Amino acid sequence: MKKELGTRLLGMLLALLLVASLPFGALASDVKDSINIVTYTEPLGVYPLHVDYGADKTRDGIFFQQVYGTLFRYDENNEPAPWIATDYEISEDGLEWTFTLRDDVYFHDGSKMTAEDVVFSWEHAIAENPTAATSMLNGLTGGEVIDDTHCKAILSHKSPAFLNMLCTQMGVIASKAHYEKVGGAEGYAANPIGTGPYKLVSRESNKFVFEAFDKYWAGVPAIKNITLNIISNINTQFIAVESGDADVLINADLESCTHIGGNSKATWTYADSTTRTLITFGWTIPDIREDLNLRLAIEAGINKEELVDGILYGYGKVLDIDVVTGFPTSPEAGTYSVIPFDQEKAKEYLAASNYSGRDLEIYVLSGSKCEKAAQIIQGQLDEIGISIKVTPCDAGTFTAAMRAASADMILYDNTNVWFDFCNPGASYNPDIPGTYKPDEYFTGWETLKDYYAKIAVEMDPATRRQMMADLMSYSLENGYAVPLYASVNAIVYNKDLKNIVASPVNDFYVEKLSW
Amino acid sequence: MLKYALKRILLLIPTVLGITLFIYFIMSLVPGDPAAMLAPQEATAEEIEALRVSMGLDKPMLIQYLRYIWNVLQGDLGVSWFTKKSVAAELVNRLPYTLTLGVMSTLIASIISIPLGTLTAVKHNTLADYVVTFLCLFFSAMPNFWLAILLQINFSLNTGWLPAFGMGTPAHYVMPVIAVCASSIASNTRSTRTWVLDVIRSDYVRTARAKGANEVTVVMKHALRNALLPIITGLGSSFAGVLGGSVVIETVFAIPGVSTYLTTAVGVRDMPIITGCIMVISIFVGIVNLLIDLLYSVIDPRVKYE
Amino acid sequence: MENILEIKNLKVQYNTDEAVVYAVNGLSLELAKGEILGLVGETGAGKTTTALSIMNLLPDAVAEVTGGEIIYNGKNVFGMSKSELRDLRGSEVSMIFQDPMTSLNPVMTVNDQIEEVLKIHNPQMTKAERDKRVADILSLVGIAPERGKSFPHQFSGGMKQRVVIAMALVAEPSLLLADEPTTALDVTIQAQILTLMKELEEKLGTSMIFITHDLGIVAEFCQSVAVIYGGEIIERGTVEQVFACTDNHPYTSSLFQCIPDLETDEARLKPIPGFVLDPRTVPKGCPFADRCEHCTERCRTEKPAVQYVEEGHFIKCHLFEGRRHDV
Repeated sequence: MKKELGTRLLGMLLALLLVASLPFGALASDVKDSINIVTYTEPLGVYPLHVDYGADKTRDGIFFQQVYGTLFRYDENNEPAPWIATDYEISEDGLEWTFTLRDDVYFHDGSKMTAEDVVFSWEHAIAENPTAATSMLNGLTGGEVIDDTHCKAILSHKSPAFLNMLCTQMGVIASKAHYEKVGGAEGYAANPIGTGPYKLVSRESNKFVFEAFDKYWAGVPAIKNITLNIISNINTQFIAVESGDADVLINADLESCTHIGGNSKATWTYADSTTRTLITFGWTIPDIREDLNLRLAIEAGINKEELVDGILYGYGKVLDIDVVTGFPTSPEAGTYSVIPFDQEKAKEYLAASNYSGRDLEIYVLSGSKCEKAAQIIQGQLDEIGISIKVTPCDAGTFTAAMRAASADMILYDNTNVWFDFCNPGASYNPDIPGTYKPDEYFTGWETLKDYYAKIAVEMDPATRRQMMADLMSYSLENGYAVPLYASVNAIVYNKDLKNIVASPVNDFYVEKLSW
Repeated sequence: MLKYALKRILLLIPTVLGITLFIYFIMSLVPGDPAAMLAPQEATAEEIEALRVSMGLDKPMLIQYLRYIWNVLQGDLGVSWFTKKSVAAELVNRLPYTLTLGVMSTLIASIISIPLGTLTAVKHNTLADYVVTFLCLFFSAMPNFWLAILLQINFSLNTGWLPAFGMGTPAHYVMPVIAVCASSIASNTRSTRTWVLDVIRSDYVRTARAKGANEVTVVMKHALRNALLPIITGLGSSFAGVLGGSVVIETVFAIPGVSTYLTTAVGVRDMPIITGCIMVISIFVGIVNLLIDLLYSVIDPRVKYE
Repeated sequence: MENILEIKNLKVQYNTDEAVVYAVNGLSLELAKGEILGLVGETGAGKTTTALSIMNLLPDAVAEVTGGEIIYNGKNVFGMSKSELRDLRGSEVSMIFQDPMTSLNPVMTVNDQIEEVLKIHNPQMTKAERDKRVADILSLVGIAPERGKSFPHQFSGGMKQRVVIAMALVAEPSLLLADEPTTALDVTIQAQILTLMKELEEKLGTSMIFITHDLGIVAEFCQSVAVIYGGEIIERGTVEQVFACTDNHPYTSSLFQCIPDLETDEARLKPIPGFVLDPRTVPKGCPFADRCEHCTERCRTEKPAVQYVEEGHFIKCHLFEGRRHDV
C-alpha cells in the first residue's frame, strides 16, 4: 500500500539522519585547552561601571571576572590580596589611599594600562552608576593620578572595607582611551576590553566565546578557549555536563547535584554561600508594623533545622542572625542575642499579640526554593496557631511587592557577593533614603541607620564586630527580619578538570583551571 | 487571485495594529512595574520615578502605544529595556531557529500523519487501526517536555549520539523537531482519519468504485483530495502554534528562539520585546493563513476568490 | 432470448449495531439481453440493495450476502476476484445513482471524471482518442463538449445527471443499472432524461434495470416490470401484462388503486393500510400478509410459490394457485 511505503521510507530517513549525526555527537571539548561552561542566563553586565550595563555578580561574574581585572582580588582565605595593585598606603586621617600599580598590565587592544585608567574607572563609576557606587565604592569621591604607576583614592569618610570593595565589579579597570574611541558606554558594551586573561571573541544570545589574551601579565592561562553556553533549564544543564557536551556548570541547582551518580563523568563541589534566605515584613501594613509580639511569635515558631534539612538536604547552615560567618564583621557566637525555636515561647508571644487570626500572606518567587521554604513554614506556624497563605508570584509582581513592602511577608534570597557587610544595600545603607516614607517603615529605622553609619567608618575589627553583634541583637529583639538559613554555592564539573574550587561569593576564574 | 492576496496582505496591517494595541492594554493591567524591576535594588523612589519618565511610562497607555507605532513605521523596533540590545537585531538572529523548527516539524508531521491517518481510515476497526490509535493517544497525552527529556537522556546522556542542547548542526535539530511534532503527528493523524472516513462514505467515492477504479486510486485521488481541505487547515494552525508556543522545547534544548524571547520578556514586562515579538508572530501567522487559504483554491475548485 | 443476468434466491442482510436488517430475502430475477426492466417498490423494499449486489458494491463492513447467486454472462459475481470485479464495473455493468448532486467528485473536471472510466478499462487508447470519445459522449447526452472543462458545481441538476449518464455509458456497458435517476429532478427535466435514455437504449442496445417507485415512468419507458416487496419479487411480467390489471398481486392492485383517477370524482384517496414490512424481521409466510385484504391463515404460515398466470407473467400469491401456465 502506498501509505505503508511512505511511512517506511520516512523511518529509514530518520534512521539515516541519526547515523549521520554520530560524528557530531563528539562535539565535547576533547581538545585539552578548551573549556565549555554552562550558565543559567545571559550575562548582561558587560560594562559594570555604567548603570545600563550594570553587573549582577551571580549572573555576570563568569563574564567580568575573565575579561576585566581589579586592583585587589580575594585569596584562598577570602581576604583581599594585591592583584593589579602591589602595595597601598593609608593617610593619617584615613581619607587618602595611595596605590602602587603593576607596570606590565595591558588591555586587550594592546595598549598599556596606567594610573590614568584606574582613576578614570573610579570617577566614571561614581558618575555613571551612582547607586551601585554608593554601595560598592562607598565613600569614594574621586581619584588623583600621581604617575603612570601610582594613584590616590579620595574618600569622604574612613572606610574599613575599601580593599574589599575594590575586589567587586565596581572595581574593574576600564580603558579610558578605548572608551573615548568607541564613543561612550554603548560602544564599550558592544566591544568590551579589559585587563583580564580572556578577551571576548563573539557574543550571541545563547553563546559567548572567549580567547586567551597572549599579553596577559600573569602569564597566558592553560585553557585557551572558553565557550560559554546559556542553558536556562536545570535538567538540560545537568544532562549537558553529564553527557560530556559541557565541562562546567556554575550556579548549579543543589537538589540536582545530590542526584549525580557515582559513575557519571561529572562530579560536584560546593562552598558555604554568602546568600542568606530571610523573611522581611510588610511595614506599610499596620497590624504587622505595630505588632512586635506577632513578629516575635513568627521568629520563635520557625524550626530552621527542618528548613535546612528539607530544602538544602543538610548542606548549608541555620542563621540565627542576618550575617554569615566568615565576614570581617561577623560577630562571634555568644555576643548577640538570639530568638531560638521554641513553640511554647512562640505561643506566649502570640497570646500577647493582637493577631486577628487572619491569613498572613508570604510572597515568594514562584518555583523557587523559597516557595518550598514558605510551605514548610506554613505547616510549622500552623502548629502554634498562625494561619499562613503562600503566594507565589512572577518576577514583576514580586519586585513590586518588595519595593512597596505591601505584602505581609516576603521570603527571599539575599545575596552578598563580596566580603564585607558594612554597606549591603538600601535596607541598611545610611546614605540611601528608603524607597518608602519613613513613617511607613520599621519604627526602629533611625537606630539601624545609626549603627550602620558607625560600622561603616570604624577601623578596629573587634569593635566593628561588637557593633554588628549589637545591631543584630537590636534587629532581632525588635522583630526587624527573620533570618532563616545560608545556602551553598555548587559547581558541577567534568572529573578530569583540575583546580575547580567553589567560592562563597561566586568567584570563578578560568585562568586557574587546567585539564 | 493576485488581487485577493494583495488585499489580504493589506488587511494584515490593521490586524497587527489591533493585536499590538490589545497587548499594550493587557500589559498595562498586569501588576508589576518595569522601571521598578529595571532599577537597581538600592534605588530610591525618586530614582525609579525618574527612570519611569525616561522610559516614557508616565504617559497614558495610548500615547505610549502611538509613540511606539510611530517608531515602528520608521523602522525602529526599539531596544530592550533590560538588555539594551536592539529588538530587531535579536529577532533577526532568533527567527531562523524558531522558523526552522516550525517548518520542519510541520513538514514531518504532514509526511507522517497524512498517510498514517489515511491508512487507519481505510483499515478502520482493524488491529492496525487500534495500534495506531493507541499510539496517537499515548503521544497526545505525553507532555512534550517529558518526551524531550526522555530523548535527551537516551540519545545524549546514555549514548552520546546527539548533542543535548544548542543549535548549529543538523544533528541539533533532530530531538527538538521530534519533541515538537510528536503530539502534532498524533492529533493530525486522528483528524485525518476522521476526515477521510467521512469522505470515504460519500456518494462520489461509491461512484468511483462503480467505475471500476482500484482501491488506491479511490482513496488517493477521490477520497484524500477531498479530505485535504480540513487537513491542511489543521497543519497550518500547528505551524502557527509552534511560532509562539514552542517555548518549552526551546527552553529544554537551550534553543535561542522567538518563543523563549517573548516568554522571558513577559516575565520582566519588557514591552519593546513583547510587542516586537507579537508583531512578528502575528505577521507570520497572518501570512501562513493566507497561504493556506490560497492553497484551498488550488485544491478545491469550488473555492473562488475575487 | 439469452439471459444476460440471472439472480437466484439472493439473500442480503445489513448487520448494524442496533439490529440485523434483512434487506433482500430470496429474490430471484432474470433479465434478457436488450430488455428494459422496471423494478418497482416502496422505499426500503430492497431495490438499491439488489442493484448494488449485482456489481458486488455493497458496503463491506455492514452488508452480508447470506445466500444466492448472481450470474452475469454465465459467471457468478460473488465468486469473482477483485480484479475481475473491477473489470466488470464500469465497462460491463454500469450504475447510475440516485442523487446527481453528490455522485460527482467536486474537485475533478467533468472531462477527467468521464475519461477516468476509459483510462481504467481501455488503457490502450491514446489521449487524443480518449478526448474524442469523451467529447462524443458528452454531445450524445446533450452537453456541449467545451463544458467538459468545468467542474460539477458549475452544472445544474439535470446537466449533472446527464454527466453521470455519460460516465456510465462511455465504456459501452452491456448492462445499465439506473437507480431512480430522475427522482431528484423536476418533471420537465425528468422527461428530457427519459427521452435521452430511450434514445441511447435504442442506439446502443444496452440492457437496463430501471429502479423507480413511479409507475408512470414504468409504463412509458420500460418493457417489463417486476414488483418488489419485503425483499422478494412478488410479481413480474411485461408492462402490458401487468398494467392490464386483469391478474395482479394484491399489492400491485393496491398500488394501482393509489393512483387517483382524473376522471372520477373521489373524495378520498385509497392508501394501502398498515406500514411497510419491518425489515428487521423475516416473515414465515407472505410478506404482504398483514396488509392484504385477501389474507388467509395459510398466507401467514406458508410462503407462496411462484405462480405463472400467463406466459412470462408470474405472481407470488396463494390466490393464483392452480393458474399455472405451461412454461
